[in-house]
Amino acid sequence: MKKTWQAPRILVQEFEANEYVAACYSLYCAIAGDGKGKYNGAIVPFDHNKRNWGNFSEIEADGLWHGEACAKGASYSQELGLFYEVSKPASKVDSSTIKIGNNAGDGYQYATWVSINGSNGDRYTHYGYAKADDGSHPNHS
Amino acid sequence: MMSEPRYQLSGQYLLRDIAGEAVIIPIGENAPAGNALLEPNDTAAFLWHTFEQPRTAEQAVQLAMNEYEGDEAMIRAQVCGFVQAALECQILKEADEA
Repeated sequence: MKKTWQAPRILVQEFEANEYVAACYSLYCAIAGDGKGKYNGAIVPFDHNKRNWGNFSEIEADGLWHGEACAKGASYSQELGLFYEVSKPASKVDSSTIKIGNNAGDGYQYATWVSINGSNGDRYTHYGYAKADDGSHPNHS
Repeated sequence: MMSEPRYQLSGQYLLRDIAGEAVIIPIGENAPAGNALLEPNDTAAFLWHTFEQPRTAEQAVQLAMNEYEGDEAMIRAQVCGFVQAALECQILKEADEA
């Protein structure tokens, strides 16, 4: 039996050539945590004396307090098409600010990035580590 | 007398079956849709396979008529439109003379 003819169509799904998004990294802030997903248990201010991180220099202190959400990490949400902090879904990471640098061992790489608080628009600067997603992350892409 | 042009796949893209869905993946450095995945519907995937070997647009129409039910004039017009669009996207190219 013949199938019914339909107009031939090709849906084009363009994607941004962003290697960090494509590689699906999770980002863990080292200000209130160990930079590998462990929260130290207290919110802390960005250390104004902190200027260097891995191969990055001239990190700009944001004057804000960092806590559990960024320490526990941000990852790419395939559903939303954005980086989000896992335990604080209103805070999204500005993916254009993600910089991934030298290897820090154990599969981690030095990284800096900026997140935006969804409730008040505050821009948080973070330094910590990026790790290629292994599939266990809640936002895994 | 000039013969009708024949077309074939350019080699800039690959069609793969991923989880039951046909997906066209750009592989050529100069593929215009280099930052995209292309999802053909059933008839577009059929035409893709049709042009795995050099064929004229009319030959593709006849193969489509064998496979599908529909108004011949409409199928002819849409196959020709597909060929033109596929040439622009470099999915198809004119086949070398035999």
